[in-house]
Amino acid sequence: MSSSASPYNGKPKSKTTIVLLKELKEVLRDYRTLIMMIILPTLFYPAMLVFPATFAKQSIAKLGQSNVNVGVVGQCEPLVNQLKVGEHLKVVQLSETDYADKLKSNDVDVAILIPPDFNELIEKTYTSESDYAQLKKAPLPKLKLLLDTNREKILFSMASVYTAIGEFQQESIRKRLRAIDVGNSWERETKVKFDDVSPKESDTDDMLPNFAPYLMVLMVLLATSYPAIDLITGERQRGTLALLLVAPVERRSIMYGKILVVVIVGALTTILGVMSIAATLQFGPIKTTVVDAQPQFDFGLSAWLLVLLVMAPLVVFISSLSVFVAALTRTFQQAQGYLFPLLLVTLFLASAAQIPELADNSFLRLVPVANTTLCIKQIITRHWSWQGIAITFVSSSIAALLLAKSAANLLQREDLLLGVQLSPKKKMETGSYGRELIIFGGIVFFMLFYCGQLLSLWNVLASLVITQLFLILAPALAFLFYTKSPIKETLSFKRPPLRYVIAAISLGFSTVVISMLILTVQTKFLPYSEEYAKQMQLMVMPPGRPLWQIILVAALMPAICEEIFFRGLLQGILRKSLPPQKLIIVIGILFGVFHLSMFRFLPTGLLGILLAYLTLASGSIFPSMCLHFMHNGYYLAASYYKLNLDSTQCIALALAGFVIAAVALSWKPKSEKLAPALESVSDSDSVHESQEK
Amino acid sequence: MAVEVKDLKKHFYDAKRGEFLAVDGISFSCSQGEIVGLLGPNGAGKTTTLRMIATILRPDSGTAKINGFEITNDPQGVRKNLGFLSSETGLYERLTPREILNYFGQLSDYPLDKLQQRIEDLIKLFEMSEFADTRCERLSTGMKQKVSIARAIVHDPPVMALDEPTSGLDIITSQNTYQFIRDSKAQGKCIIFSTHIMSEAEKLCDRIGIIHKGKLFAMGTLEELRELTGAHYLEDIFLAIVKEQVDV
Repeated sequence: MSSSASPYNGKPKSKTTIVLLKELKEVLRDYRTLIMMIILPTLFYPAMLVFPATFAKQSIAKLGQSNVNVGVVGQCEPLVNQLKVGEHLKVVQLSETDYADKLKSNDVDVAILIPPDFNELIEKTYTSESDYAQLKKAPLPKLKLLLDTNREKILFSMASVYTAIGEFQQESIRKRLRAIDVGNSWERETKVKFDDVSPKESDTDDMLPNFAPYLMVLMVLLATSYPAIDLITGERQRGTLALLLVAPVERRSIMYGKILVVVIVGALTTILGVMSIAATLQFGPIKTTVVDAQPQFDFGLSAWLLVLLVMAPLVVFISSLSVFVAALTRTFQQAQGYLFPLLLVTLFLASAAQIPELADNSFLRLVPVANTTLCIKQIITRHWSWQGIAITFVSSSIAALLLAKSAANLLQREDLLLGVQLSPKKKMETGSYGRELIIFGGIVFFMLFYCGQLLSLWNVLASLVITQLFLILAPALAFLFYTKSPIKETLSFKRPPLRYVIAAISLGFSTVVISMLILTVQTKFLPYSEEYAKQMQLMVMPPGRPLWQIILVAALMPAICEEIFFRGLLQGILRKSLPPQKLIIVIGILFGVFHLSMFRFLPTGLLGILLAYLTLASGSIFPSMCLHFMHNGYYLAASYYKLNLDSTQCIALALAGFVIAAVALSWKPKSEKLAPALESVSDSDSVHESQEK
Repeated sequence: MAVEVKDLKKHFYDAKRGEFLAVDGISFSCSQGEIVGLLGPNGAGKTTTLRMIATILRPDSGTAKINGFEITNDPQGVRKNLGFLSSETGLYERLTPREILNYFGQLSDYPLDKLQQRIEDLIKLFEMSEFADTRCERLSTGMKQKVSIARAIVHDPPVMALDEPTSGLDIITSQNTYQFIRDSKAQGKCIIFSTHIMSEAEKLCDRIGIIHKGKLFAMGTLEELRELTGAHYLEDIFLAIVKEQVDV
């Protein structure tokens, strides 16, 4: 080892490192990446953030300073005098006949019409009782202002006109008050002076929190997408990918090496971008001070470091996303075609930061990209909490790592590598509907998120019905027809063994109690707002409805529609490609996410796992439908009658339910043979159940 | 035998033809110092066969052993013993030939202390010293072909799979490739290469396999094939064999 002077001496590097170093070298030699990575974040993004604001402000200031020609029609000396001393105002006397033309030809910017009786009404003093009686009947003095609101210049300059008129009004009121002699204590009126209350600051305050998070996501996406396409699609198009595939390297190592390079590019971009945005705001033309009553820390280095911290998982996420999309494409053109929708979806998620408080936006904390932009916004406006940052960081990291892992597996797939197509028959056999499922899931998810929320504002009960039928059941059936899947087999429509039905029925109440206990423990770590509790209450208990209606809509319908969607369609397709343990966990997680609330994720996720297990083990969807119905039904009834679920009796009943279920499930008739694949599941699930207890 | 291919099968699907066998039970072998040519028109299944041998694609059934390593059980072992070159494979444009050789040398587990010497030898052998440190984007087709070949054998593999290595090349560049194939044979390497050019197969191959529609119809030396069909030129031999089989 020591005899050779070669720099490549010593311990051999890991394959991932070799790939990484080579890719990094290649990326750094590409000027396009360099532009995206260095020039844009250091120069362009801060400029984007700062210059439009500066420019707008300057032009507004300039417009505000231009002279306004005020045409006065009619006579009123005090008013005219006020106008004459007004800032940037030039007063011209006009006649009834020519003011319209002058206004049209822009000779005057504003015309003020003073009616003939105006002076009389204004000047008249009221001292006696009879005067007051007259005053009540008298018409109000009226001025008429004519201006063309399409002319920007005027809108920005009108402040001086209004001020002058205001001064005139005050003056005339003062005059009248003096006349009735009430002393001068009232004269301590508010002096309003339009001093510069720094519009600079208020502008950045508006822009920075809303625009900066958005810009940062865009920055990472633009910086990572090009190298991702270059490293994967480019390699494929140039014919170098085959070389890598025949080199003795695990395909996963190749992908991890590439993902890491993209992550490095994204991280560098982010650091440079955040640094230069921070520097611009600190030393640039706009000084930012975020106004807040209780500053938790100085808006400075620590805030920016916090921004970098929450952006770290985002960078990994977006990098993996770029690599993922690039791995799906075979040519640059195709990759660019995919990039556009990717950009749209990501920016759409990023825009979540701009949504004002939703009824329950806790869910956004679990959505990648959206949670990060929300977090950055909160850091900038100083409304952040360690809890929020921790949840964002952890959930984004999990999402990022999962995405990186699935991106790393894409090189295993021949259909993507060499355009080998799967026949519909094989597709069905292996359940290879990844692409379709992602698109389908995305659409359903967005529909639920937006339509569901909108509908529930309108009518709670009706929105539940519509959601179940049209956003859950209908898409599931549509997908089945689209893929021409055999319905009975995919949805596990089969007569279940009796013991699973017994178990399902007896678990109904137990799962409600367990969910309540989980929620009780959870609130200690993750307290939810009263607003949210109210919302939830309203959702399960719409006022003025009889219990049977509520049970029909919120127990029976979900038991059918949601089960067909999750334990039927999704499980039916995914069970072909996922091992049993993974399958029930994935179904459980999806079921938890589907409830669109961070607070409900844990209890619903665990219930989803149990339901998925029941379907898988019994080979039939009916036990899980049964349990789902019982669970929701008991829960609704308990809320309706305000039953205390953590009483001793309830917990005893719950335990009894578990015992009956355990006995029923452990009783295996000899005539019935359990598929060997499921044996291991029943073991793992009994562990899970004991954990639940 | 350096290479033993046994009953390889691979299904493909396209909307027009539905599901079909792109490779339909191909078996053959190749020993050290031998050049075996797979001859067939486009779409015959040559590339798919070579890709399965090179572990790029997984066969639906059947197997192949490269220097004793099985393609599905031990793809890494196969890859260490195989050099792969095809007309479609390219080079990293922003890297220099030396960097490319270095990269693949390291990836292929070539002993690190010997790698630099090996690269120098290859640069000398293929007369690349003038452009060894120039980025590949600035090289001519001929230069690139040299780099590609050097890249394929940087880890000194005993077996080579060449997929239409000369397609798209001019006469002189092709000659370099032929020379390289002959030299490799002299060094005792086992070479499998596919082509649709009859003269190429005639000149180079010890044995020729006729592939059509995923099936290997005949395999033997040129003499054997002549005897089999009674035709003299390879073109006629090919047509005779394919026609006979298709008619049946």
